[in-house]
Amino acid sequence: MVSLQHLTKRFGAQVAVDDLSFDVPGGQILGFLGPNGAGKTTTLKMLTGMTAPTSGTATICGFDLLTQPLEIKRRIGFVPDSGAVFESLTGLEHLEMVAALYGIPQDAARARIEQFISFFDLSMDTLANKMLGAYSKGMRRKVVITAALLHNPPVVFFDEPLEGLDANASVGFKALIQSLAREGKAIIYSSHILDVVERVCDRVIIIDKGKSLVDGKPEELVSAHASGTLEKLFTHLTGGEELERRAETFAKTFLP
Amino acid sequence: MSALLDPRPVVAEAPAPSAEKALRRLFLLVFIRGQSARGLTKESAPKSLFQKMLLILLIYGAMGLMAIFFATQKVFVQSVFLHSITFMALGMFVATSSGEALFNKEESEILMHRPVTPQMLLRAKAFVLIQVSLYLAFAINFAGFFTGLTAGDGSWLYPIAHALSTIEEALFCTAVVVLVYQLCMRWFGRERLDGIMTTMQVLVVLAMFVSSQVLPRALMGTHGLAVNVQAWWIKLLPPAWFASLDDAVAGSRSGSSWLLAGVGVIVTALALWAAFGKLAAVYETGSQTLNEGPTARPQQRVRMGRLKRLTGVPPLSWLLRDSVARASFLLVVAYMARDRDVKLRLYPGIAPAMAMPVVMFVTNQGVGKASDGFGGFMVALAASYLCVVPLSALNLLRFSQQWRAAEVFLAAPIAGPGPLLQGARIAVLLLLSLPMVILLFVFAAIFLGPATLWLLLPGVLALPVYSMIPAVFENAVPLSNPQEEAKSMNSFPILMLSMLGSFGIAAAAMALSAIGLLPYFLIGELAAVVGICLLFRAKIAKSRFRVYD
Repeated sequence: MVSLQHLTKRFGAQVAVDDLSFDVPGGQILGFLGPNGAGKTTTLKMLTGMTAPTSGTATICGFDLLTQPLEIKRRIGFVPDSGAVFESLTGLEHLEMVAALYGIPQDAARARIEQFISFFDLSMDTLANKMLGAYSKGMRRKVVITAALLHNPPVVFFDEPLEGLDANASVGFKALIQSLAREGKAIIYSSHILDVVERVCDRVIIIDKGKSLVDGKPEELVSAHASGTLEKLFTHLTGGEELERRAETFAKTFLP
Repeated sequence: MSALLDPRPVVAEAPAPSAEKALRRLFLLVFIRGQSARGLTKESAPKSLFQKMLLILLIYGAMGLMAIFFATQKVFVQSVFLHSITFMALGMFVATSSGEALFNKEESEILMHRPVTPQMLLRAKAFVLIQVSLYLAFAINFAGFFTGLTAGDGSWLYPIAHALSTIEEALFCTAVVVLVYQLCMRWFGRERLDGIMTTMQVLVVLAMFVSSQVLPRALMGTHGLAVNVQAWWIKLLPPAWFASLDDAVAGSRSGSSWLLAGVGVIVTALALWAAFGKLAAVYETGSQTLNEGPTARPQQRVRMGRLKRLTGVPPLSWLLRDSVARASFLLVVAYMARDRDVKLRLYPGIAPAMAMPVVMFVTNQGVGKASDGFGGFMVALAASYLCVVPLSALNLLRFSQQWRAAEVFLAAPIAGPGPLLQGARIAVLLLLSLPMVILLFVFAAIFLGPATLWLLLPGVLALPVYSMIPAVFENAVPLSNPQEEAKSMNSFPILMLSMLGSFGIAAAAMALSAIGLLPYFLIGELAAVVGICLLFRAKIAKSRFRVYD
């Protein structure tokens, strides 16, 4: 469903994504991990057509990223890490605007929105009368997730989707993406919350400095590296252990 | 590692004196740069702040070159002109900058939990506002310092006196605008501050603009400059107070000039005391409440239903037949009506452009003299000057605090920004330009007679072309650019060229009207407008989104 072929992005001399290639079939949830600045968001932005790759390409649902970006955009949903919304619109206005961008008729959009309202336990009154600027962070995130799924895309990219969601909403959201995968959607899930990734994802790719370090099922990767947990594997691969040592030394400088 | 850190606790008992200096440096840097880190792009990041500031000063300096035309006039007349221009430029600059500078929600999250007091913030911001105002004021008056020496009753003291009166004017403008904000905060509270701030800013800009426009025009008679210094209303206008200081020190040195100069000094001192002394505590309250939890703003609840229904009725349904254009239209309308940041930038920004045609009508040259050449020109110009409204508005609507949310346009299956630009264009034409056009026609019909309505048509016909210029030459996707970029002067040349174009249309219309060829001109113009619009439409259809890497 999603196939990256030597995808590369350079900003001047800096290589943000370096020759990345992998495939994600329908029905799979791929955990896309990496430390800050590893190139995760840049990769997602390239796959969603928001920024152009320097070289390489990708195909999504059989369409080429470079030559058929609109066909791809019709078939993907994206929850950006910024979670930005137009705060001077009401939640309903924002969702109706997004629906219009995808050419969803107003009645169909309203029906889909109502489904999500009921799933996320939102109130229609709040959604219709309160501006997004007045929403809590969690409520705003729910609106952003709804906006990404409104057109029922076969491929969904999530960039830190749980930020701001409370424990109950997070549980519900995890169940949602698992059921989306069961419907045959391909899901790429980028996050720093490793235990969630470990529990939810069928497969994990860890990248650093734009390069893929490991790719496989979480349990297989953990046992292959004898790490015990995905978090330990992650810190081992991305230089986190060194940071732990430095933190200990650093803390000692505060002792009287 | 240990070499980097001093293990001793670093807890100061009072704000360090260097903190205020650091704040001044920070605000000046942010102010001049006009871009925050999030908005910086490799191609647009300013390479040198000095160059950027120099460019702005050169533009203001060029504006002040018109002082040369008044070089042989008396000191008071020259100074009134110079101070009127300065008053308009500074007033608009301070009024449009200070709302964002004084009450910035994000900044309060960054700074309010640090060991700095709100008074320090206010002082540092005022210092920067005054500092930049002085730079601009001296740039505008640069030519005036020399022309003042050649004034009929001038003396070598003129540059000194004019420097003092210019400083006084910069202090006055800053203090009055800050005072207005403080009073709004005190009288109306945080809940209504956003709406009040917008209204007050528009009123301040309008007052400064009208006084700077009306005073020189009133001083200028039909046979050149004819100043009646004794006119009572002159004494009410601030530029006259500052000009009187010049006149008292380096001109006529009359008693009335000394008196008016004294009034100016006292009023400026009172404004400074009230803004930065008496009402400083209000700023503290304001800064604290600004960052309180998000409010529901019940008074701003949805009233878009009627407008939504209107988009389903011709001619709007034809213009907005694309669902993306319709969504963009509703988005832009919502922001024009509700968003504090957009309103604070948009309405004060376009207020002078909206007031100018009215000023042209109500001053001597416009009303009652449409039959003579110049009067007719002013009528035609009043309409063609309206082009500045959609041009400025669409440029200002590019910016938003929530520009990141516009990423939804990039991720959506839209080939390019065309439909989004169309929606924004229709919103601006419907809500801003159309009421102005109707107002002008009513004014013209009442004061000048139905025969002059023809002279308004060339300007009105050109409006669709002008409204497409931001889409063709700028990255005018609504709300998609960081608000900090709004301070950059990139659209200035296009605005100036468009204004020159509007002058050209008015002059051609008047000239051809005088020899009875106006109907042919209108037919020709209509054909040209259709052609240019088609050309622009093709160009817009090919345009692609700007992406922040």
